[in-house]
Amino acid sequence: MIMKTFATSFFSHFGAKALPSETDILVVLPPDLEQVFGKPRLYLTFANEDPAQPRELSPNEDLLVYGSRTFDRMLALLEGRGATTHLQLPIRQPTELDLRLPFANAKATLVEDDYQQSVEPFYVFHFRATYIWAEKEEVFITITLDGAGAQHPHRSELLGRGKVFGAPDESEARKIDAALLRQQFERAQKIAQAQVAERADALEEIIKTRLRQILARLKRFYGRLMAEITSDNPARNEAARADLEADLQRKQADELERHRLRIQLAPVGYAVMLVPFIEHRLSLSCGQQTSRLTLRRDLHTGWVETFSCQPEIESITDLAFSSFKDRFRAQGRFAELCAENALLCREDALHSVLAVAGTKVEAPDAPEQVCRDAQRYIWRRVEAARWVIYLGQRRGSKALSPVLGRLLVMLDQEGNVIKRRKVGAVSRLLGRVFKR
Amino acid sequence: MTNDQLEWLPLSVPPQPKETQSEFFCPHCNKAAPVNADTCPHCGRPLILAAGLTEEALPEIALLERQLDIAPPPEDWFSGRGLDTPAMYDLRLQAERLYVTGGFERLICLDDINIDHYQYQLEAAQRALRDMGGRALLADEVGLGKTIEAGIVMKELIERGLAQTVLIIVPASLTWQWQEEMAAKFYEDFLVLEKLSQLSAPNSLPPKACRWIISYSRARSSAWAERLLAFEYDLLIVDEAHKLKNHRSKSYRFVDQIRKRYVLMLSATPVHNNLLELYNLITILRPGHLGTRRAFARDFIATPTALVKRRAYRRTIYSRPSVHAYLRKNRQARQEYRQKGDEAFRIVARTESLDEFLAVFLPKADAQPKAAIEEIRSLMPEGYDVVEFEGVEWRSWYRRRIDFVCRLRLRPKAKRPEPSRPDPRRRLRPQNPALVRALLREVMIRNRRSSVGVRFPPREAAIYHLTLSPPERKLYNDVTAYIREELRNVQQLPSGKRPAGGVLQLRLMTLQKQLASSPQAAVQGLEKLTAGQNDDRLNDYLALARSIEQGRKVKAVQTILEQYPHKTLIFTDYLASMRALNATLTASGFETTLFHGGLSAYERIEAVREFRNSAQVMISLRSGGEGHNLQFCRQMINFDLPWNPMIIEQRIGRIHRLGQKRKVRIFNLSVANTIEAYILELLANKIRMFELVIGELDLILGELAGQRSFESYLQEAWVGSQSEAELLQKIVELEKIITGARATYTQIRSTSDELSDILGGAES
Repeated sequence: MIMKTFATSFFSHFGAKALPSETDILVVLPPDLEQVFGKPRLYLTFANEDPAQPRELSPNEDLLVYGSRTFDRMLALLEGRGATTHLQLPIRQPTELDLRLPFANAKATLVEDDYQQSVEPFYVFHFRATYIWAEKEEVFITITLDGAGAQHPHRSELLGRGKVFGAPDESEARKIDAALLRQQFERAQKIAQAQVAERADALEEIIKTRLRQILARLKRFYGRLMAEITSDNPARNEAARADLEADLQRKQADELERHRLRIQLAPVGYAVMLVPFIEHRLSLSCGQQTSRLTLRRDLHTGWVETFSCQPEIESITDLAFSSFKDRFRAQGRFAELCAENALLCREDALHSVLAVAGTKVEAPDAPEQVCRDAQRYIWRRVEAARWVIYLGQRRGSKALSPVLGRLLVMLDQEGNVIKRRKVGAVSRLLGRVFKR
Repeated sequence: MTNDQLEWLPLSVPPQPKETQSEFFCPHCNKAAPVNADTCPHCGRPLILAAGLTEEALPEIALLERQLDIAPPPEDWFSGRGLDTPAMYDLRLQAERLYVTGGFERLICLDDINIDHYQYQLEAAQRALRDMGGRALLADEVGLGKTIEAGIVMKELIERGLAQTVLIIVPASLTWQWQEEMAAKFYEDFLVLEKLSQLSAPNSLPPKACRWIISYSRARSSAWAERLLAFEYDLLIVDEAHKLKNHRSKSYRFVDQIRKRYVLMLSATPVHNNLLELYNLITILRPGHLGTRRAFARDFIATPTALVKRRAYRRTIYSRPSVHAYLRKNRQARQEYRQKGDEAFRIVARTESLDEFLAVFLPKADAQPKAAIEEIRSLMPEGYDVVEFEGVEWRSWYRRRIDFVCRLRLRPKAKRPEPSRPDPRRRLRPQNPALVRALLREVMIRNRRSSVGVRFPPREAAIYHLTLSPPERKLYNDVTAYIREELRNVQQLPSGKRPAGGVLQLRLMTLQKQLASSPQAAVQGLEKLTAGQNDDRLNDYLALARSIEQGRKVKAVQTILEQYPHKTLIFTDYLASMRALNATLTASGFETTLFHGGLSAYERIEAVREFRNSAQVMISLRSGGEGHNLQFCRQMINFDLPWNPMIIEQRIGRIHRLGQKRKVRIFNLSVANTIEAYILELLANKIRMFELVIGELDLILGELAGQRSFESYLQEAWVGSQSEAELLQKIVELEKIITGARATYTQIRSTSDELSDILGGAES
């Protein structure tokens, strides 16, 4: 399917008429491509899902798969082109951020103090890592960085999927700083190198196991051959042993060389992606308590950026805040602060988070990692089911242990289900959860 | 024409190999263990070790430092000059993602090769690449497509950029077939090496240009070997690898010396006589995998060890009907061994030639080898010849002494109609078959028809015996007489005055073949011969040939097609015959399509499509249709008979191949008292080629004495005969040679089957 998408985009781009059917594509080539492909029309067919199934080709069909001649010719046409570009992501959301998010408690009020629209560059770099030993493996690495150098892996998924974005207008393009671009490239290259090193370590472990056996076998084999030299002529024996020793050395050296891991890391291309953002400064008040909250929303995807420590959760589109009265007594924390808290307080937050998620953690060995895992677990669920997150802080609840009571994180499948519950009901519910 | 008759050949069906289950006993505790277990469930010790024989801790090793090559970005990247449009960027990104190759878990070449995919072949290729590191012995049964498996591995390595230089070593008769298959099925062009000038200095050629096919005989000659060894090959493919069974042969030493990264050895019969032959092949692939030769013989070859041990202890001459002799009086050698011996019983040498034996063994046995040789020779009874030696060094466990035994196997010289082969069971059966099997599984892949579920449909073969019409007979006899006379004249000329390169001889032989094909083909040949000379006799023959409107064979084809009205593939070697046949059949209302070298690739595809869709008959030149699926047809006619039986096998292989579901019918036209009739007799009744699986014929022909080709024997017989009677006599001699080769092959096949039974678990 990916190949078919590529073929359609490719031939359309080069001025051919691509007429896709359910399985194939008929391509009517323009004169310049006719010369390249040697015929006026291509009947492109694609690989079977099951590689073991034989493919019967009719005389005119051109199989378009990795390594096929047609594919190679297409690649040749792209040689030296399309490596770098500037992209402008269009605004797809309404410019006014709709903040009427589902509230759990009508007593809380949310006021938008201010907002500001901006365009921010993201730097997407592509590398190809090739690992060669007795085998060969290639990995396509994409590193996406923001202006500050933080990674945003989700962003690159928008690219190279057959969806073409426009180029930025000149004024925006001029703002792209070449020095910063180079700086970010170097940073991305270092990150890619680290990824390559990680993979190389894993591969070398595999290689080492295999090589160890080979070298042991050779050593044993030649050792025995030498032991079997038993003629009466010591000079001849010595010469034969020397020959075998030399042969062994050569073979060992060959094997070592054959199992040396060679890695090539080559930059393939980059795109500077200009992304429209809107930043809202909000006030959330409940009774006497007021908290300030800043929300950034990507105007192309609609993603809300809330947790600076967790760029992976950009795809959250809805947030809700509980306004239970006592949540805000001790300067209640909101989303991003909460996440920070989770990193800072570690165990407490983690225990509560994981307990709610139904997993008990005794003592995390690497709190930060567990924290990330826990959050990712929750956020993933949030992302998948559009759950509503309730954040708040509670002290002295009898239903909760003191540790857990410090930070309350509760999830539910549907916001409206929780919405109908009273504080007590929620506490009882949580109490049941934690007691279990 | 009254003698014309269709004779159906009685074809025997080879028995399907039986499924066998062998027991596996732990070598340490001797208790039964699961065949595939890594450790013994009773004693917990490893059942399989890398070296196979002893348990040793694997040493810690340090890999060579990894090389990281970081390519810099192009200079114009950051200046903004090289920027492209987002659309082009998107395309490029898509292409780059598609261009990434993963590990060997997925074969990436499959859609770029022109073959039918059979799961067992793909699995074999994957195992060879992934589990065996690209060094494997592909030992599928005949006809299962070892060449295809090797081709897949090759293509995969090439597409991944792991292999560029490839050397293929094959028997001489298969060089062109390999070249054709590599081109038609894998789109890789190979050069068949015939002249030394084709090889230049190692670094002067681009790697892609180093894709060569060479015959064993050529490769092992010192001039070629020296040039070929100067190169380093990414991939070495050795077809019919059993030719390397003798580790002292030139071929073996040559292949062993080649510098290669990946090696594929192909043989349907990796063992002919002795498990040591298999040991030799494996040792090229993975030195030490089966231990040393001596250790392998001691630890795995059961019977000889046991026998010799027992006989050595009894100190008697062990007699067998055709084998007996026992050397036991070398006291000096015993003395020497007693003094220095500290090893237990072990076989010192086991060889099949006297010289080899003496070179290996006698220096240890006697300080004066010459005297010892004489002693051994004097022991040989008159009229006997040496078949095999076994030298044994032995220390009795209770007598505390070293003994020295040399056992000779002799056979009567007078009773030697054909090479006698020792009982294969005795030499094949390993001591611990399961351990051997487990070791072999790491380097050898053997698919059997029974295990992969491949069944070829049965064949029917018939000979249509024909009698020529009087004018045709006259033409045949007269021209044949003329050819013989001319050949005689040529041979009588002083060597300096003979036509260069045997051109005339070749022309005359071609004319003979054309004559047997059809009058129209004969006209073509005669016209070539008469060009530029005014020979009345030739002109008369030409006139006679032209006067014959329809050859007898054409009429016979028509009869067959009327009687068996199925899609039929007709093979002829001559364009003139093809045209004549086509004209007659078309006039008779048969829809035909032609397939020959003059067609473009597109036209060939169209011809096959036409044959599939509408035409009843396809008339093809040579082994046409290679690379195209013709299994929808199940009937073929050999209009004329090539002198090289391999071409006939290729023809049969066009329709009788994997994928054919119906019974295949093969018709052969045999005109009485012609060279073709003799050939057909040899092929049908002596080689019995119509009952052979595709691939077997080459193995039989490979057994012909002196490694000569069938065609060369035939040519020699024909050229060297002054008369038909003399030719017949020579054909009878050839029959004997062929019968011997067939018998030898039958023996080898049964040996291989037995090996398969014993090593059942090494199969895929």
